[in-house]
Amino acid sequence: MKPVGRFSSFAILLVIFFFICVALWFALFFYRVI
Amino acid sequence: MATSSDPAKPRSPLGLIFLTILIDMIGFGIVIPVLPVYAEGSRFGATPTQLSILVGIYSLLQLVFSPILGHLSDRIGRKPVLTVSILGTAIGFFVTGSANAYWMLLLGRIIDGISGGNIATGMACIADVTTKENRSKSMGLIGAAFGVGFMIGPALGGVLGKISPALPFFVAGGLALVNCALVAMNLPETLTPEAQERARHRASIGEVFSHGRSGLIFAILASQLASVTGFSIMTSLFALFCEKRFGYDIAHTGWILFYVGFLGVLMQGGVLRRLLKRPIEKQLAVIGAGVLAISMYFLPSTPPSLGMLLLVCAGISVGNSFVTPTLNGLASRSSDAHTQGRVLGLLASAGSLGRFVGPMIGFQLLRFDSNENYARTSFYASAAILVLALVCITMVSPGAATAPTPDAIPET
Repeated sequence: MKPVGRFSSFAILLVIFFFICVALWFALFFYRVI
Repeated sequence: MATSSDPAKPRSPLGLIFLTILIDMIGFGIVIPVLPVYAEGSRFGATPTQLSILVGIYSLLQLVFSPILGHLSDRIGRKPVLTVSILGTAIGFFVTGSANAYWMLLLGRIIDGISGGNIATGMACIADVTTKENRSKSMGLIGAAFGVGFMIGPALGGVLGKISPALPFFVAGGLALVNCALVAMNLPETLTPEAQERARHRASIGEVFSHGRSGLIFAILASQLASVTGFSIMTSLFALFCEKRFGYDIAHTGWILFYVGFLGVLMQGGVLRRLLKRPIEKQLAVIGAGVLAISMYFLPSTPPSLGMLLLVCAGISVGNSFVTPTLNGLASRSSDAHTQGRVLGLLASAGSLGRFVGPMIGFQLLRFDSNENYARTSFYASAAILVLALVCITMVSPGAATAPTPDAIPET
């Protein structure tokens, strides 16, 4: 297994990025782009 | 071919759009057997988490950027958007192919994901140049391009990957460049003022979920999310599973995926078309999800014989061919002409989300299994998620919606 500490910051970034994408998606939906 | 020797005579762009989507799908399919094996190999040594992000990031970005590109194509025209997005696909493949570190692999997939509006814009082109009456048939062309591209792509990827691991990416990039040149030189602009007007008057959220349709639409979206998540656990892990469990190289895996794609084309083009003469979409979707779940349950315990593997893969292919088109059909029958575009857009979003979530779950669960029973927990999770999809599909009752429309094609 790779060191957990190094991986966790990467995972946190990913989770933040995921939520930004989902928020952006909702914005697109409400503004009738989707 | 799409080239014409008589420039004075306007040609129907349908052939070129078909070719565009075919090349796009071949490019996408080339990567499937190769990418996880390539990234996990000694050159990059990617961990399961890194692999899941590498495979899933494309779909996550597409979730956001595909609608934006579609919207842009309603404003500035199909041709510029399609040209740029195909060019982005080519650049993405070249970056992935020439990567010498994990972050470069990721960058290539990010570029490809951001510019991944090719299919949606191609579909908008078809909607522009066809009448309501012949649109269904023309959209069938897209389905055929999808199926054939998905059949040829993995086989080509496997064969090329055996020559050199990075070669499939360069060939996919080269194909995209050819495609980009064809579109730039030969595709006429198809965006009409009527289509622009139609795009300006999209249904509001209230209209999308009105007439007591909200429960029905949510059930269909949940079915789509669950079935795509379950299925993409399989697609993202299949090449590594074949390598670790059966000792197959990527060429073998490519041929197995060719067989899966071939069965899919047979099922969707021949069998399903006949079965769907009667309105039994829901029943077919339930059967499909059931067959898919059972196949995924048996996949990890398949004895090491090619015959047994092909049998289980046949179940996966048949199951998936029954679920995907029927959910699309159910979604379009559950909406009226005004809201159909938005409902099908939601369905596509649920699919993108599933293709992101699936690899995340699949690769994370790898840690519970050794190489002898590689991906067993992941495939069991896939089976469980597919059972959930089956339950969601049983909750879909198309009769509950008012004003269904026989036309199954989105407006934009």
